[in-house]
Amino acid sequence: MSVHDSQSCSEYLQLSRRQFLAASGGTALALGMPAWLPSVAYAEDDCSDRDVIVTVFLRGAADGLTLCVPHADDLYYTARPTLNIPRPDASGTFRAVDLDGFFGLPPQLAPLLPAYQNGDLLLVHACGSTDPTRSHFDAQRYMEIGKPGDVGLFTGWLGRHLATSPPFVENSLLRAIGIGYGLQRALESGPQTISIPDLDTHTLSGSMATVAARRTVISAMHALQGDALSAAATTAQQTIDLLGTIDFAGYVPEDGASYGTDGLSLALKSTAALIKAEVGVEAVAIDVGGWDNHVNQGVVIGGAMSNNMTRLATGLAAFHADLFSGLRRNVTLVVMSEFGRRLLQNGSLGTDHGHGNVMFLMGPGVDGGRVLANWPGLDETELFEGRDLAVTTDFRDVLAEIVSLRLGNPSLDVVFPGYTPTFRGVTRSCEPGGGDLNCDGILTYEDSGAMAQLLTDREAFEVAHPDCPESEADLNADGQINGLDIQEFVRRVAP
Amino acid sequence: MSLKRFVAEQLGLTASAPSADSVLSRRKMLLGGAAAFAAVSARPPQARAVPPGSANRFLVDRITFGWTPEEQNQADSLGYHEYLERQLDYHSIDDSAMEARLESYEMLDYIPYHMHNLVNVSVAYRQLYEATILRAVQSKRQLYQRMVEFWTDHFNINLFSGECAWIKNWDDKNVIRVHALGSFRELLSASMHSACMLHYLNNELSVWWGPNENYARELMELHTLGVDGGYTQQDVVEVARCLTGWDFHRPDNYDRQMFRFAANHHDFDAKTVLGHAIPAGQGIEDGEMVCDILASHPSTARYLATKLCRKFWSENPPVTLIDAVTATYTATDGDIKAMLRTLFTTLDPSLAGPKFKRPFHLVVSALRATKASYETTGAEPSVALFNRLANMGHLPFNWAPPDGYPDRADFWVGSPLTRWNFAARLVNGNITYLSVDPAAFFATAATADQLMGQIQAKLFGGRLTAEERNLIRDYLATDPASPSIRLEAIGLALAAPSFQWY
Repeated sequence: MSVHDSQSCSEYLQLSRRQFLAASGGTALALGMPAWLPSVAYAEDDCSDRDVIVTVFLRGAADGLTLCVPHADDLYYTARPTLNIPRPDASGTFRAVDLDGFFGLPPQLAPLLPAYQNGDLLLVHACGSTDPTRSHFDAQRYMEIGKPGDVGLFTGWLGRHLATSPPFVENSLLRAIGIGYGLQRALESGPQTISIPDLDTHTLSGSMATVAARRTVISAMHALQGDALSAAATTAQQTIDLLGTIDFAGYVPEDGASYGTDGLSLALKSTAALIKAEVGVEAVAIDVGGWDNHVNQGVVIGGAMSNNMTRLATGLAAFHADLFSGLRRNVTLVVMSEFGRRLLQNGSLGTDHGHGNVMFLMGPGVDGGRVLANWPGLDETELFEGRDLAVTTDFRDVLAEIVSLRLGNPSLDVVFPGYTPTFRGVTRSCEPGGGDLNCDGILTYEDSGAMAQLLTDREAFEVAHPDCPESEADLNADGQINGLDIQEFVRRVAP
Repeated sequence: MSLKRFVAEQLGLTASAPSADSVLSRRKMLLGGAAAFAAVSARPPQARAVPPGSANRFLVDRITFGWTPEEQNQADSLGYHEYLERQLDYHSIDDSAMEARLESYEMLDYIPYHMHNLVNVSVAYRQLYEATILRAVQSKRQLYQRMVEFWTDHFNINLFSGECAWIKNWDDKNVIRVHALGSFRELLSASMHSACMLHYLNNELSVWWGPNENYARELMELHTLGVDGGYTQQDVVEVARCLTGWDFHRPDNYDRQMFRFAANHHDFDAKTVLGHAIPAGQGIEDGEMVCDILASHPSTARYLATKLCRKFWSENPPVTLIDAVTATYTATDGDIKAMLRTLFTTLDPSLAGPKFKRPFHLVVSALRATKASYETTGAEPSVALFNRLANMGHLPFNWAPPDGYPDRADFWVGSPLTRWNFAARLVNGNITYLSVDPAAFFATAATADQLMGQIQAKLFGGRLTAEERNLIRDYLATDPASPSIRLEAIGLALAAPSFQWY
């Protein structure tokens, strides 16, 4: 990943192009090098390290002990006598769906089984922030700024990730969207980042006859300012044009994906349309409220949390079918919540604020099909402060691995300042190409001509080297063949 | 970010380049030139320091829901302190026109029993929405309405949580509006006895054999001490135990969903709250003691002072000001008027940075400045306007979590399109029952320059920057006689950056 060490995208690509031209002895020039090296997506495979990231934040502290049931831990049933998901072998139809002999999904989340069985869904349990706060607002803020306990940091981890990554597309107009009425803290300080309540209606109201002139005046008024409002205004204007090219209303999901009609499903459906339109959006943040179930939590069918879980499962299952069952898009989705809930149910058939929780990760680059947990146990001596599920996996370990290996950003010290993450193996690793583009069995300067050919005239390359896999050119294992691979090529040939 | 930089510049913390930062230049203009910046060093708190003349503009901006020439005239004729005192002594302001306007909104006075007898509760909460908007726009008791907004956020209740839609009307009238400019201790006590609050935060199901911590925690975190106010998880548990049995009448009679203390649900054992012993054997007195402990706590004084300063001074108020307002809380046992008096008379207002209008503020200030006609009744409210506010994410009583709508520019600044669209729809006549009359607004103005002069005078009081003015004037010049162009020019002015701050 050392190729990402440079500060600026265009700068290092230009540098590597010069190096490449020198190394290839002018061959590329002879082939008619275009003004800009094209990028060749050789396959929609699992090996991109520049995924789009979609975060779904369950606001209000979702009960991880219901979302992912430790059904083999008897203490769970002791603590939740009337607020539990019965064991998988319980009689009746309302019972957990076993995942691995220890954990199970509540039946409402059964629609996620195909994703799980396909290896695309990973659950990380006993996970969360190690800060002891049981305040929703502090805990959400700490997670979103990516630095628990820091009261002075206001920028978000996703915002800082974007600020330290080159954009997907050059001169990107829109890099991140927070679906909602105000920007999620996680996205704050992100470049070309905006909050939009409804992607489908992002146009300027009023007379069509004067809309262009009015937009011009509004743009010009804001162009004079140079503050956060004018930056948002510029992005809003560009987004009108950008989203105007996408037919959200007429969007047809793939593979019979069936989204619901609730806010989460609508947001995920718009996100899918947006991702497929390939306009350069790299991050989307979605909020889902209603998880603060102090009273009548309702985990059985028809209950409050049950309905929430059904909506969650419907949305995520549709998103999975839509984006990953045919062409497998390079997208990683994360579901998180500020903390879990108390192990012991309270006197009002609900649960109070707790600590450790579960995270869901979904995508082709996720090493899924399992529950990852260093299970701390539910005995009083094993619980956090004697009450709550302990945190044995810091949420930043999970997010940092995604940022590093799925989003291709090595600047973890900026994204998660003051923290040295431990990668837990939540992502799948990619095999880098060897760069042997002429298939003579060795990587030498000779290969640069074939590589240039692949980049500039793919058909000619296929004719000249019919048996050479294009994946050989993906030297940095990011699923793309572009200037970054050239830099890696140069580094390997002439270290 | 830039707001913070701006504030830092105002406080002299960073060098201020002679940039095109027109927020800065607006403030300079407001203050009558750069000379005002010479006196930025934090002066020691000084009771009734007399701010310079342009301070009246600051005061009108801060204590109303939007500047108007009429409000400015009143402030100028009364003087800074007298205008402030008049607004604080809100009962003395004749608001009979407002009361007459609201006569058909009879459900504002309904108790929960009446509300439950309605076929459709939406009729009642729409009256509450509209009354809240109308009062903000038309009431002469502007500071009082701003304080109602402040406490509505502070003691946030989401209308669509449980049965809150049936009981928020009572809470609004009897908790927030009764005490908005009174004593915080009494306000807190009223809120603790509000069935709506106890329902919203689940206290009605907190019982001695199973206390529910939700209300107890937010009572300390959000309503009094603040999250860093020095309480522990054990204090949350103890306060929850003290408040077991605080709920409301269930039977379907006149008392329905009015407060009651259910002794058979109460935990009668001894407790310790924030170091104070709560003796065993008490009943409702436990909760009353908690109210007193919290209202008297120094963390509460500081937390409320900080929040008030953020609301009325700037997002990053100087510590000296917070100290002064905190001291006033302590000295007056939480007299809200006294705190505001200190807040507005301690430091030179030229120290304060601009604040970004939240969507509700933007909407109300636009309706005030344009003198939009707003012809509705309690039976036929403007649902279209509620939809606009919802589209902007700021329909009153619709913030789900208990911390209230955010009051920071960072949160709201990212979605300007919904603001432009409100403005465009308002002038276009697309918000049912609301309209702007270009003939009345522009009077006899005819040329683009004259029309622009009216916009500058009526919406901005001179605050529109030269660049913005030129752009809108050029738009008017395309067809100055056209009523639709004139209206669109007002819409553009309402979308101008200068209209987004106050």
